[in-house]
Amino acid sequence: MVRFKNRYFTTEIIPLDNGHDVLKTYDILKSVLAVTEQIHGEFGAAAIRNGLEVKYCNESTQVAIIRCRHGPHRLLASSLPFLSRIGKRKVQLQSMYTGATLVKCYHFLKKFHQEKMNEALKMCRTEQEKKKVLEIMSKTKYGL
Amino acid sequence: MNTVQGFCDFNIPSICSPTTTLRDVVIRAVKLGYGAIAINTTIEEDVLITTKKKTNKKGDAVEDKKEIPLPPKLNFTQEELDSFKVHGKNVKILHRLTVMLSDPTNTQKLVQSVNTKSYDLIAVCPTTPAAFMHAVANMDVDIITYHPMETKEIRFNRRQYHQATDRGIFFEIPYAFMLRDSTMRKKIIHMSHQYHSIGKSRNIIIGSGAITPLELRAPYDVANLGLLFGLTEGEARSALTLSGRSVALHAVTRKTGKCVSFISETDKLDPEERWKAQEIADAEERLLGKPESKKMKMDIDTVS
Repeated sequence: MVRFKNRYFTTEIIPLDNGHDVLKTYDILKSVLAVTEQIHGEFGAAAIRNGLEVKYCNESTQVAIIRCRHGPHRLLASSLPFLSRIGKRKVQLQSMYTGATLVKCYHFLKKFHQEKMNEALKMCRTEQEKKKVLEIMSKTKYGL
Repeated sequence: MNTVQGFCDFNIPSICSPTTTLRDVVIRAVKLGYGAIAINTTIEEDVLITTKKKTNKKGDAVEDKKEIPLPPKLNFTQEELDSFKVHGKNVKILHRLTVMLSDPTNTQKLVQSVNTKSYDLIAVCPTTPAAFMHAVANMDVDIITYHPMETKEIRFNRRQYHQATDRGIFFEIPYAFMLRDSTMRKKIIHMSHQYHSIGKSRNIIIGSGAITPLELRAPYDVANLGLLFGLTEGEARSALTLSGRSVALHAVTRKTGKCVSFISETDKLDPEERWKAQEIADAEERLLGKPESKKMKMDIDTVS
């Protein structure tokens, strides 16, 4: 059986301004397409369009997973660092992980967040602070 | 038997831009080195629908007006015909009918019409996903083509693609649209990449769709365009040569039914194929004079 190969880019979206616009998946798609056209021309834009999708986008953790077909994914990967604007917001994209399946990406994210949480807990001096951190963490939306 | 050799361009629209004539385009294509050309007559879907309704009400008179048009006739002067022959063999000029299809229910008329039979190739350009499914699964055509302006976004899966390729249908990529506009270029590259990723670029044919002589490109340049379409070098070249031949053969089998060999009387052969009859006669003579061949063998033996 021939498999239809995909690549999933797990990226961290770092906002550089204090805008309050919600990150929309459609906006991410549009800006990714635009930046690829800038770097690789019309061919690049047309090549990655096949199967391009934002599978997961989390506002509170600032993480997005972009799916792309295997093959032209290299064009997408090489143009992601040049992305500076999503919708009206100024952002920077930091790619964290490139996986072949979504499950792998989720595993990575889970590990990544656990490490971050441990870091945050280490910084706390008193029990009260720890409780506060946990409280804030539990409020964030981890839903898909 | 109408076989096709050399480079093929099966998409030269019969209605070209007002500044040039069809003849110019054809001559230019021949000069570029194409061995087979198909002149494409595109009909809209309403030709099929309106005829159906009017024939029910009135009769034959109206039907003739809305009938599928006959293939255009091209008359070349002797000089032009000679120039055709300079490049090896005679250029094959075929006629192709393309139907813009949006509703799969209207195809019955296409099969019934007498004029359809005067075309060598039949192509379909599905503009909706439903029409595409029907064309892939059921329609008896040679080529499924793509129009970047008319066609909505079509998605298909591997099974559907294979349904078409198993029946010998070819998918066409028209490259002249790519020369005109940026958005069309992107759409065509996108579509051809879809063929590449889903069907592994099986049964692909590259046509031009050029309406002026300047939009035509030499066959080797077109083969290089294959890189954009996700074809390898070999695939790109066979998309111009071997695939064209398969399409032409498929068109013949559509008329005759499935067959492995083709028999025709030697008296009724085309002038270019007369040599075959001559060869057969010579071969018969040789077979009859068997002793001669034995002598030859003896001679060789003695020498050795």
